[in-house]
Amino acid sequence: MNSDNKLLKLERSSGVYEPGERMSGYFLAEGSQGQSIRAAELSVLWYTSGQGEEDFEIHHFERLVDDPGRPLDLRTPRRFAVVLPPSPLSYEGRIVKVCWCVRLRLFPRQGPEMVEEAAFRLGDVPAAPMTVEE
Amino acid sequence: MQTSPLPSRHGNPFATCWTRPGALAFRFRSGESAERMVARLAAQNWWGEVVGPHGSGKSTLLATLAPRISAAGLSATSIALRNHEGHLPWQVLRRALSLPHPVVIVDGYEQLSQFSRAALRWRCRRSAAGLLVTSHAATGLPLLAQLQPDLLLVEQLVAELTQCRPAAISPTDVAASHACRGSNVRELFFDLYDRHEVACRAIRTRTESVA
Repeated sequence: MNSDNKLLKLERSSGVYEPGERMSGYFLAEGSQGQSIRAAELSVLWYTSGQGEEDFEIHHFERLVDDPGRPLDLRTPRRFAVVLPPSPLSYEGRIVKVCWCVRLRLFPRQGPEMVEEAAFRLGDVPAAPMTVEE
Repeated sequence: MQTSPLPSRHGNPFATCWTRPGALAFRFRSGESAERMVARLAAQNWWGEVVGPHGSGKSTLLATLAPRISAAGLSATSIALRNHEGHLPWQVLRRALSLPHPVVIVDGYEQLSQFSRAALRWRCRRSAAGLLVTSHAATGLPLLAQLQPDLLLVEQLVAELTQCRPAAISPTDVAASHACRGSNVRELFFDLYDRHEVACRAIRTRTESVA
């Protein structure tokens, strides 16, 4: 699936949120070549990235499944809203970064799963400065 | 409020998530392939060792070979030794050897004591199991591969890593890093990670001062 047929969008274009604030957005998807989506998972999570071991935690998770009683139609925008936690705050460090994102995983009836992410910032911690020797 | 980019793993192409074994495909020398290597290992009765210095790609090669060994109908069990462990997790080994057509894969074989190595070989022979290990120097097992990454290989890996995630470093940085770190690609990626961070911060500082 390419960017033409899936979309994950946060309503605030800056992508910057305060702890405890309500974040909202929407997603939509259309199966490539007419194939339908079997399930979709939306997560709001943080992870660390850098030079060492990585860590992550899921703050919010929802799974939508296509079933005969409730067909899953993602061609129209599906809204989501989440109250963000007080921590951990986003941090752009030299050795480690704390990153927040909304992740959408789509499981088509055939073929591999597809993933789309929208990064956002929680809080306003300044990025690590350059050290003196640099 | 911050104006810098949102923190993301995509911010540095040399972060662990992109460079760890399995994330970056092992690059075989011309004429070599995973299939050929597995065929050679089979011809050696599934015994072999991958020899190379620190960070030369031994773990990455194992991560590439292990699923192919399993696909050949064998039960591959991987054991990674870290922090200079002198002994094997024997329970894991016992479980591995109880599987049908076992192959034990030990990453960091040189960390084992002479006694543990001998005991491991003996147990594998007794169970008609394969044994594939990595080591910094030859240990007497049949040689499967000897790794010594050169600058060309490093440049290819950097090109692959920076294809989708642009880096703020130049080919000069890559050459300088290779000159410092030699064939230790893991350390070289750490170095390039740092160079990228420094370059990004310098660009950001310049941009902010202009604004």
